[in-house]
Amino acid sequence: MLELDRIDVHYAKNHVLKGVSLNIREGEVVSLVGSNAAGKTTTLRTIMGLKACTAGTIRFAGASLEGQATDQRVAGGIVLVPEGRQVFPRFTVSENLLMGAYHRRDRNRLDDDLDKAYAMFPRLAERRGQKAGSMSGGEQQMLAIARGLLSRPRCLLLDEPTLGLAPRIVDEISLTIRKLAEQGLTVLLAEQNAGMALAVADRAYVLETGRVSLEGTGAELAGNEAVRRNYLDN
Amino acid sequence: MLQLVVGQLLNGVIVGTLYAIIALGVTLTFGITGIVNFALGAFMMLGAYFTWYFSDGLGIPYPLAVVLATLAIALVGLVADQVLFRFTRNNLINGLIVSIGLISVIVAIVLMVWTTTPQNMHYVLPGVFRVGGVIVPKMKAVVFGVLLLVILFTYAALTRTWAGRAAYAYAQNPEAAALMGVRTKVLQAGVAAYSAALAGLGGGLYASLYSITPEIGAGYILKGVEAAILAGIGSVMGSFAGGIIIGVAEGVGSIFLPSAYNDAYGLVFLVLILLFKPAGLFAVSSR
Repeated sequence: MLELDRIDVHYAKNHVLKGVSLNIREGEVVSLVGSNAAGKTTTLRTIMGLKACTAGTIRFAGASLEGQATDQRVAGGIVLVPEGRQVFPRFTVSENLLMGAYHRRDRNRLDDDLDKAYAMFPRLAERRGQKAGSMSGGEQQMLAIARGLLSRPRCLLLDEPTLGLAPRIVDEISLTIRKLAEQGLTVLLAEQNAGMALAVADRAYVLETGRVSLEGTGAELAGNEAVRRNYLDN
Repeated sequence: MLQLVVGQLLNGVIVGTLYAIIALGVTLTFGITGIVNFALGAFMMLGAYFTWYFSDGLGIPYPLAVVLATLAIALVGLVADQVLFRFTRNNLINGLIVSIGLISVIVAIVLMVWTTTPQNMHYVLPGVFRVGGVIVPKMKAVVFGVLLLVILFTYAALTRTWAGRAAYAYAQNPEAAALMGVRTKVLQAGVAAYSAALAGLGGGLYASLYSITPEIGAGYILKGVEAAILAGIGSVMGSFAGGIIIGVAEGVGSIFLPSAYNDAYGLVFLVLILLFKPAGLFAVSSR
């Protein structure tokens, strides 16, 4: 459904992505594992068109994304929940959720979607009138994911959703990802927390200084000696 | 004495709404494009000349002349944004330099076309309201009412329409707004045009009250920026209150202190307020 073919990205003279190829099939959860500065965030930003690639092609649902601005990609169904959550701090929870639906044609009839989001994240329902900036990191992450779902994604990109969160919240988020996968949503998850990322993924790629060094099913990679040594604690 | 104070108070409120409409443009432009557009004062001056020319030169009825001038200034603002300010996004210094250059060009063109002679429009609405000895010209009351309505409309549009919410979301987090599918370039151009239109409207209404000269923009943009900072940049109703505070400080100040230093009284207020509330009176905390 989402294919990256030998993508190159430069920041000024720094060659950050070097021929990255990924293939995410419909209904799959694919993890992108790697340490800090391996290029995970850049990969997702490039998919969204926030960063231009210097070579290579990205195809979504069979069509090239070349020349499409970010808003067109969002309208096409690729939605990114960015690193660091990036909720709108001065908007309430419900206003944040509404912004997720900004690009939708049926944006004035969102009651069902809001009910669904609140059913999935009961803590958000309790706080729907609260300013997002005054919530905890875990709550903001839930809100960012819920806001992403209001965009009605066909393919959801999650950038470091567990960064800086307590283990209990990390479990909650991986449970959420599993639930979304059961509903058939295609997910690309970029994570430093390799244990969690490999556990939820059907397949995974390991990104090392801008190159894909390994790929395989989540279980294969979790059993791989190099992965265990570099990315998993045991 | 009391009559004088109340009269100057009302006068200050009315002049203050003119400052406020400029301040609103300043605050909106800053929130979306990251620069302070000092040329909004020149746009206001141009709006005054256009209104005067449409009305007294071409014989178009005054209300229609104001609407036409406002639309024309919106177009001027849009063109200036696409040709010049587009290249100064989020760069205050470049924005300042381009503003100053644009102001020089606009003032020079106006001087060439309409000379330095002050222009006075015909009396649009003669007559006064008398309330217990205090006299308010009818036209001043109309100007106040129109500007108040436009400010309230802007506030409502920002909080209740999708375009307004997108603008407010963008001001909080540009990248997150882009990820919601907000067309950021269209939004920036739209806000630049709207801010220019506000300044043009301010100028069109100004034309019905006072003499028009090529220099009027400088004073008004100064007060507009003062009002926006005093209020805490980013607050719509704050710009309104900020404009009125400065207008009243000037009006009432000039009773007790020499009116030659009129422009300083608002600044004194600004300094005092910033000493105690450095982020401005109505600043919204970002957390």
